[in-house]
Amino acid sequence: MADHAEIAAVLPHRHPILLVDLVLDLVPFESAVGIKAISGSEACYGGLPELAPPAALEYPASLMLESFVQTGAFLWLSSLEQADARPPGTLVLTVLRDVVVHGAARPGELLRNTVRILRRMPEAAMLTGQIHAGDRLLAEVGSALAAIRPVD
Amino acid sequence: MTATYALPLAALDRYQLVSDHEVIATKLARDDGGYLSGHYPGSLIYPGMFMLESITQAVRTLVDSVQPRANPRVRLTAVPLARFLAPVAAGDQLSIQCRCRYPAADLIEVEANCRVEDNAVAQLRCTFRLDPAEHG
Repeated sequence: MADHAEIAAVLPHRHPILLVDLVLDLVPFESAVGIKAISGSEACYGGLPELAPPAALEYPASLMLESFVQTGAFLWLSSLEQADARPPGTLVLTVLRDVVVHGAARPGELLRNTVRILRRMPEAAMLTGQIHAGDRLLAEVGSALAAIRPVD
Repeated sequence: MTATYALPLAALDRYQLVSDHEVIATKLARDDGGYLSGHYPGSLIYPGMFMLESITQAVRTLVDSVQPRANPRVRLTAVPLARFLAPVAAGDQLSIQCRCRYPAADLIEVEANCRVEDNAVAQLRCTFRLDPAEHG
Protein backbone atom coordinates (compact mmCIF):
# COMPACT_ATOMS: atom_id res chain seq x y z
CA MET A 1 0.00 0.00 0.00
CA ALA A 2 1.19 3.53 -0.73
CA ASP A 3 -0.23 6.42 1.27
CA HIS A 4 -0.62 10.04 0.21
CA ALA A 5 2.90 11.02 1.25
CA GLU A 6 4.43 8.13 -0.67
CA ILE A 7 2.36 9.00 -3.73
CA ALA A 8 3.50 12.63 -3.53
CA ALA A 9 7.10 11.47 -3.36
CA VAL A 10 6.71 9.81 -6.77
CA LEU A 11 4.27 12.01 -8.70
CA PRO A 12 5.07 15.64 -9.58
CA HIS A 13 1.45 16.71 -8.98
CA ARG A 14 0.68 18.77 -5.90
CA HIS A 15 -2.36 20.09 -4.05
CA PRO A 16 -5.04 20.53 -5.21
CA ILE A 17 -4.50 18.40 -8.31
CA LEU A 18 -2.83 15.43 -6.69
CA LEU A 19 -5.89 13.25 -7.18
CA VAL A 20 -4.86 9.89 -5.72
CA ASP A 21 -5.13 9.37 -1.96
CA LEU A 22 -4.10 5.74 -1.64
CA VAL A 23 -2.66 3.02 -3.87
CA LEU A 24 -3.47 -0.63 -3.15
CA ASP A 25 -2.51 -3.99 -4.59
CA LEU A 26 0.44 -2.67 -6.55
CA VAL A 27 2.24 -5.29 -8.63
CA PRO A 28 5.30 -3.55 -10.12
CA PHE A 29 5.07 -2.97 -13.87
CA GLU A 30 1.71 -4.77 -13.92
CA SER A 31 -1.24 -3.33 -12.03
CA ALA A 32 -2.50 -1.21 -9.16
CA VAL A 33 -5.67 0.17 -7.63
CA GLY A 34 -5.82 3.87 -6.84
CA ILE A 35 -8.33 5.36 -4.41
CA LYS A 36 -9.55 8.95 -4.58
CA ALA A 37 -12.01 10.26 -1.99
CA ILE A 38 -14.32 12.94 -3.34
CA SER A 39 -15.22 15.67 -0.89
CA GLY A 40 -17.78 18.42 -1.23
CA SER A 41 -15.12 20.84 -0.04
CA GLU A 42 -12.99 20.36 -3.17
CA ALA A 43 -12.22 23.45 -5.17
CA CYS A 44 -14.33 22.33 -8.13
CA TYR A 45 -17.47 22.79 -6.03
CA GLY A 46 -16.54 26.26 -4.84
CA GLY A 47 -18.34 28.16 -7.59
CA LEU A 48 -21.71 26.47 -7.27
CA PRO A 49 -24.72 28.48 -6.12
CA GLU A 50 -26.39 27.44 -2.88
CA LEU A 51 -29.45 26.09 -4.64
CA ALA A 52 -27.65 24.22 -7.40
CA PRO A 53 -29.44 21.07 -8.62
CA PRO A 54 -28.12 17.74 -7.33
CA ALA A 55 -26.57 16.99 -10.73
CA ALA A 56 -24.27 19.97 -10.23
CA LEU A 57 -22.43 17.89 -7.64
CA GLU A 58 -21.25 15.41 -10.27
CA TYR A 59 -17.47 15.24 -10.09
CA PRO A 60 -16.06 16.59 -13.37
CA ALA A 61 -15.12 13.89 -15.88
CA SER A 62 -11.82 15.66 -16.53
CA LEU A 63 -10.77 15.27 -12.88
CA MET A 64 -12.03 11.68 -12.70
CA LEU A 65 -9.93 10.74 -15.74
CA GLU A 66 -6.96 12.71 -14.39
CA SER A 67 -7.16 10.64 -11.19
CA PHE A 68 -7.08 7.46 -13.27
CA VAL A 69 -4.03 8.56 -15.25
CA GLN A 70 -2.24 9.62 -12.05
CA THR A 71 -2.82 6.14 -10.61
CA GLY A 72 -1.25 4.63 -13.71
CA ALA A 73 1.63 7.09 -13.62
CA PHE A 74 2.29 6.17 -9.98
CA LEU A 75 2.29 2.46 -10.87
CA TRP A 76 4.75 3.02 -13.71
CA LEU A 77 7.05 5.56 -12.03
CA SER A 78 7.24 3.80 -8.67
CA SER A 79 8.08 0.56 -10.48
CA LEU A 80 10.86 2.35 -12.35
CA GLU A 81 12.16 3.85 -9.11
CA GLN A 82 12.26 0.44 -7.45
CA ALA A 83 14.31 -0.76 -10.43
CA ASP A 84 16.48 2.36 -10.22
CA ALA A 85 15.50 3.10 -13.82
CA ARG A 86 13.39 6.28 -13.69
CA PRO A 87 14.50 8.63 -16.48
CA PRO A 88 14.74 12.36 -15.78
CA GLY A 89 12.15 14.63 -17.35
CA THR A 90 8.57 15.83 -17.20
CA LEU A 91 5.59 13.50 -16.94
CA VAL A 92 3.02 14.08 -19.71
CA LEU A 93 -0.04 12.37 -21.17
CA THR A 94 0.39 11.89 -24.91
CA VAL A 95 -2.49 9.75 -26.18
CA LEU A 96 -5.89 8.71 -24.90
CA ARG A 97 -7.99 6.15 -26.79
CA ASP A 98 -11.36 4.51 -26.45
CA VAL A 99 -12.54 6.23 -23.30
CA VAL A 100 -16.19 5.61 -22.44
CA VAL A 101 -17.81 7.52 -19.59
CA HIS A 102 -20.85 5.83 -18.08
CA GLY A 103 -21.51 7.96 -15.05
CA ALA A 104 -20.21 10.33 -12.42
CA ALA A 105 -19.36 10.20 -8.73
CA ARG A 106 -20.52 12.70 -6.11
CA PRO A 107 -19.12 13.92 -2.81
CA GLY A 108 -18.85 11.14 -0.26
CA GLU A 109 -17.95 8.52 -2.85
CA LEU A 110 -14.59 6.86 -3.48
CA LEU A 111 -13.21 6.57 -6.97
CA ARG A 112 -11.49 3.23 -7.46
CA ASN A 113 -9.08 3.32 -10.39
CA THR A 114 -8.07 -0.16 -11.51
CA VAL A 115 -5.07 0.23 -13.80
CA ARG A 116 -2.98 -2.23 -15.78
CA ILE A 117 0.13 -1.56 -17.83
CA LEU A 118 -0.55 -2.86 -21.33
CA ARG A 119 2.89 -2.12 -22.72
CA ARG A 120 5.95 -0.21 -21.66
CA MET A 121 8.83 1.41 -23.45
CA PRO A 122 11.96 3.02 -21.94
CA GLU A 123 10.25 6.39 -21.54
CA ALA A 124 6.54 5.63 -21.87
CA ALA A 125 3.86 3.29 -20.58
CA MET A 126 0.51 2.37 -22.05
CA LEU A 127 -2.19 2.05 -19.41
CA THR A 128 -5.67 0.59 -19.44
CA GLY A 129 -8.44 0.06 -16.91
CA GLN A 130 -11.68 1.12 -15.34
CA ILE A 131 -13.01 3.60 -12.81
CA HIS A 132 -15.66 2.49 -10.32
CA ALA A 133 -17.54 4.07 -7.44
CA GLY A 134 -18.78 1.19 -5.30
CA ASP A 135 -20.31 -1.28 -7.74
CA ARG A 136 -20.95 1.33 -10.41
CA LEU A 137 -18.71 1.37 -13.45
CA LEU A 138 -18.07 5.05 -14.14
CA ALA A 139 -15.60 4.87 -17.00
CA GLU A 140 -13.48 2.57 -19.12
CA VAL A 141 -10.14 3.68 -20.51
CA GLY A 142 -9.06 1.69 -23.55
CA SER A 143 -5.55 3.08 -23.39
CA ALA A 144 -3.65 6.06 -22.09
CA LEU A 145 -0.03 6.64 -23.00
CA ALA A 146 2.00 8.36 -20.28
CA ALA A 147 5.50 9.51 -21.13
CA ILE A 148 8.54 11.23 -19.70
CA ARG A 149 9.62 14.11 -21.91
CA PRO A 150 13.20 15.39 -21.55
CA VAL A 151 13.47 18.80 -19.91
CA ASP A 152 14.50 21.50 -22.42
CA MET B 1 -31.48 29.30 -16.85
CA THR B 2 -28.06 27.91 -17.70
CA ALA B 3 -27.26 24.51 -16.21
CA THR B 4 -24.73 24.61 -13.42
CA TYR B 5 -21.69 22.37 -13.19
CA ALA B 6 -18.84 21.67 -10.81
CA LEU B 7 -15.79 23.06 -12.61
CA PRO B 8 -12.11 22.50 -11.92
CA LEU B 9 -11.33 25.86 -13.48
CA ALA B 10 -12.65 28.52 -15.79
CA ALA B 11 -11.30 26.71 -18.81
CA LEU B 12 -12.26 29.42 -21.31
CA ASP B 13 -11.17 33.05 -21.20
CA ARG B 14 -13.12 33.95 -24.33
CA TYR B 15 -15.21 32.19 -26.89
CA GLN B 16 -16.70 32.97 -30.26
CA LEU B 17 -19.75 31.14 -31.58
CA VAL B 18 -18.96 30.82 -35.27
CA SER B 19 -22.13 28.89 -36.13
CA ASP B 20 -24.42 26.23 -34.67
CA HIS B 21 -21.66 23.80 -35.55
CA GLU B 22 -18.53 25.60 -34.48
CA VAL B 23 -17.12 27.39 -31.47
CA ILE B 24 -13.63 28.79 -31.02
CA ALA B 25 -12.32 29.49 -27.53
CA THR B 26 -9.12 30.75 -25.99
CA LYS B 27 -7.45 30.05 -22.67
CA LEU B 28 -4.25 31.53 -21.32
CA ALA B 29 -2.27 28.92 -19.39
CA ARG B 30 -1.46 30.58 -16.09
CA ASP B 31 -1.26 29.79 -12.40
CA ASP B 32 -4.66 30.96 -11.20
CA GLY B 33 -4.21 29.67 -7.66
CA GLY B 34 -6.49 26.71 -8.33
CA TYR B 35 -5.84 23.22 -9.66
CA LEU B 36 -3.23 24.49 -12.11
CA SER B 37 -0.98 25.64 -9.29
CA GLY B 38 -0.23 21.97 -8.59
CA HIS B 39 0.47 20.97 -12.19
CA TYR B 40 3.36 21.43 -11.72
CA PRO B 41 4.72 23.83 -9.06
CA GLY B 42 7.30 26.12 -10.64
CA SER B 43 6.82 24.62 -14.10
CA LEU B 44 3.19 24.86 -15.14
CA ILE B 45 1.92 22.51 -17.82
CA TYR B 46 -1.73 22.79 -18.84
CA PRO B 47 -2.95 19.22 -18.30
CA GLY B 48 -4.28 17.26 -21.25
CA MET B 49 -7.41 16.58 -19.21
CA PHE B 50 -7.95 20.33 -18.90
CA MET B 51 -7.93 20.60 -22.68
CA LEU B 52 -10.79 18.12 -22.47
CA GLU B 53 -12.35 20.40 -19.84
CA SER B 54 -11.91 23.44 -22.10
CA ILE B 55 -13.65 21.58 -24.93
CA THR B 56 -16.45 20.52 -22.60
CA GLN B 57 -17.04 24.10 -21.48
CA ALA B 58 -16.88 25.35 -25.08
CA VAL B 59 -19.49 22.80 -26.16
CA ARG B 60 -21.72 23.86 -23.27
CA THR B 61 -21.59 27.49 -24.43
CA LEU B 62 -22.56 26.34 -27.91
CA VAL B 63 -25.47 24.27 -26.59
CA ASP B 64 -26.64 27.15 -24.40
CA SER B 65 -26.69 29.28 -27.52
CA VAL B 66 -28.40 26.75 -29.80
CA GLN B 67 -30.91 25.45 -27.23
CA PRO B 68 -31.33 28.30 -24.73
CA ARG B 69 -34.82 27.22 -23.64
CA ALA B 70 -34.23 23.48 -23.44
CA ASN B 71 -31.31 24.00 -21.06
CA PRO B 72 -30.06 20.41 -21.38
CA ARG B 73 -27.31 19.01 -19.23
CA VAL B 74 -24.21 18.36 -21.34
CA ARG B 75 -22.24 15.28 -20.29
CA LEU B 76 -19.07 13.82 -21.75
CA THR B 77 -19.70 10.20 -22.78
CA ALA B 78 -16.71 9.19 -24.89
CA VAL B 79 -13.25 10.15 -26.04
CA PRO B 80 -12.46 7.88 -28.99
CA LEU B 81 -9.10 9.57 -29.51
CA ALA B 82 -7.08 12.36 -27.98
CA ARG B 83 -3.55 13.14 -29.08
CA PHE B 84 -1.51 15.59 -27.03
CA LEU B 85 1.24 16.69 -29.36
CA ALA B 86 3.17 19.27 -27.36
CA PRO B 87 3.11 20.63 -23.82
CA VAL B 88 1.22 23.87 -23.15
CA ALA B 89 3.29 25.90 -20.69
CA ALA B 90 2.72 29.00 -18.57
CA GLY B 91 2.06 32.03 -20.76
CA ASP B 92 0.89 30.01 -23.76
CA GLN B 93 -2.34 31.23 -25.32
CA LEU B 94 -4.34 28.15 -26.16
CA SER B 95 -6.81 28.34 -29.05
CA ILE B 96 -9.47 25.64 -29.12
CA GLN B 97 -11.55 25.11 -32.25
CA CYS B 98 -14.49 22.74 -31.84
CA ARG B 99 -16.39 21.50 -34.89
CA CYS B 100 -19.60 19.76 -33.94
CA ARG B 101 -21.93 17.22 -35.56
CA TYR B 102 -25.36 16.28 -34.30
CA PRO B 103 -25.85 12.58 -35.21
CA ALA B 104 -28.96 12.42 -33.01
CA ALA B 105 -31.08 14.92 -31.13
CA ASP B 106 -29.30 14.14 -27.87
CA LEU B 107 -25.74 13.62 -29.14
CA ILE B 108 -22.90 15.90 -30.19
CA GLU B 109 -19.73 14.63 -31.78
CA VAL B 110 -16.84 17.06 -31.57
CA GLU B 111 -13.58 17.31 -33.42
CA ALA B 112 -11.33 19.71 -31.58
CA ASN B 113 -8.05 21.21 -32.67
CA CYS B 114 -5.97 22.96 -30.05
CA ARG B 115 -3.18 25.31 -31.07
CA VAL B 116 -0.66 27.65 -29.53
CA GLU B 117 0.09 30.29 -32.15
CA ASP B 118 0.66 28.26 -35.34
CA ASN B 119 1.53 25.03 -33.60
CA ALA B 120 -0.94 22.18 -33.14
CA VAL B 121 -0.73 21.02 -29.52
CA ALA B 122 -3.66 18.62 -29.31
CA GLN B 123 -6.35 16.95 -31.40
CA LEU B 124 -9.34 15.36 -29.75
CA ARG B 125 -12.51 13.58 -30.75
CA CYS B 126 -15.21 13.53 -28.08
CA THR B 127 -18.88 12.72 -27.76
CA PHE B 128 -21.34 14.50 -25.50
CA ARG B 129 -24.88 13.57 -24.53
CA LEU B 130 -27.60 16.10 -23.89
CA ASP B 131 -29.83 15.10 -20.99
CA PRO B 132 -33.13 16.83 -20.33
CA ALA B 133 -32.95 19.55 -17.72
CA GLU B 134 -35.70 17.97 -15.61
CA HIS B 135 -33.41 14.99 -14.99
CA GLY B 136 -30.86 17.32 -13.46
